[in-house]
Amino acid sequence: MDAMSEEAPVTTHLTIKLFATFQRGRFTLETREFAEPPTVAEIVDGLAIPRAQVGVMLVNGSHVEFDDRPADGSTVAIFPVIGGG
Amino acid sequence: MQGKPQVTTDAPPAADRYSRQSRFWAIGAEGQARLAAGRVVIVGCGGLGSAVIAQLARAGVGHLVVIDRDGVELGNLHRQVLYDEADAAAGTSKAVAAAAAVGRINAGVEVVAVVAEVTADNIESLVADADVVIDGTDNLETRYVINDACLKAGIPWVYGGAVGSTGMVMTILPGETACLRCLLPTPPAKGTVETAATAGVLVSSVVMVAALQWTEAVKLLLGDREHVNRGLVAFDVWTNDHVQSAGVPRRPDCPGCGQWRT
Repeated sequence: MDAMSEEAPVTTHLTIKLFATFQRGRFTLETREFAEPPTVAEIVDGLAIPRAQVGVMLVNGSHVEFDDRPADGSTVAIFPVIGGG
Repeated sequence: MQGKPQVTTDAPPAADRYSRQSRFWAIGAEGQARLAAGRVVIVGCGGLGSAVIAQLARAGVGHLVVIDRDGVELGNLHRQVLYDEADAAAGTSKAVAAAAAVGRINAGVEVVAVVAEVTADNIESLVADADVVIDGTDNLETRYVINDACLKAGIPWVYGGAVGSTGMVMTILPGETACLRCLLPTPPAKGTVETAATAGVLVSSVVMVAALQWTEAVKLLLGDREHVNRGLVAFDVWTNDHVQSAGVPRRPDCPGCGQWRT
């Protein structure tokens, strides 16, 4: 068997940044590996963040929706609604 | 030679007072005159509002309307930079205390204090004469009220928010940029948005948001729309992060700005 012909599993690496109250009990910045390219919604759900509390989602500085799938190597920033002042 | 320090009540000449500001390339003497003629309404005189008011007064923005329904409390003082212990002890109205502070900072500024809750019923008359409206509120409900009134009247306004060490700023240009309802189309359920009272807030994140709001307001008063920030700025002063979005997409079905699209 030719080992070179075996395809390595494709994984997606994303840098995830959390802001404000989403940092509590989680992290501020992490790089995570996903077996399949996730949607933003799947990332949010995987972090146990209620979708209704999400205010702004950015991928590489562009605004995205829950059903967007960030490309490998992207930076995903997730903010709650910032209501204080 | 010893003697009493001389005290004068005469205001210093404007050219001296603003010389370091008007030397900035985008302002100049003409820009300084525009600021003196500028009219800014600040809705909310808490952390954001008081910091923006102080900066606008120092910059010589000539006409300010400061609005808040609440009184000063001791728990405000760590971040609400216009107030002091005497205001908190007396429970002085924030709008009244802010106007008094403006008078001490710059006697050349006309300031009107409005002690009232801002609602859909009174917002249109409160902002009618404004060149720019500044968001100094602490809740989303009032921000939607500001958003809708400013869109209707064609008045630019600057959203700002801060919680913890995070801040966010967005300038809304009616008919040109996305509005608050484009950014946050679904109002969060009441009580689900954390504020300074529930999550804490740093004075540095509040003042940084206020500084960006001031800058956007001054660009607008000067008529320098080329440099107005068309995206969303967000930052975390604790984790040293800063995000500038490429621009908030306008929503074709936006209930706020859709019907006023050109």
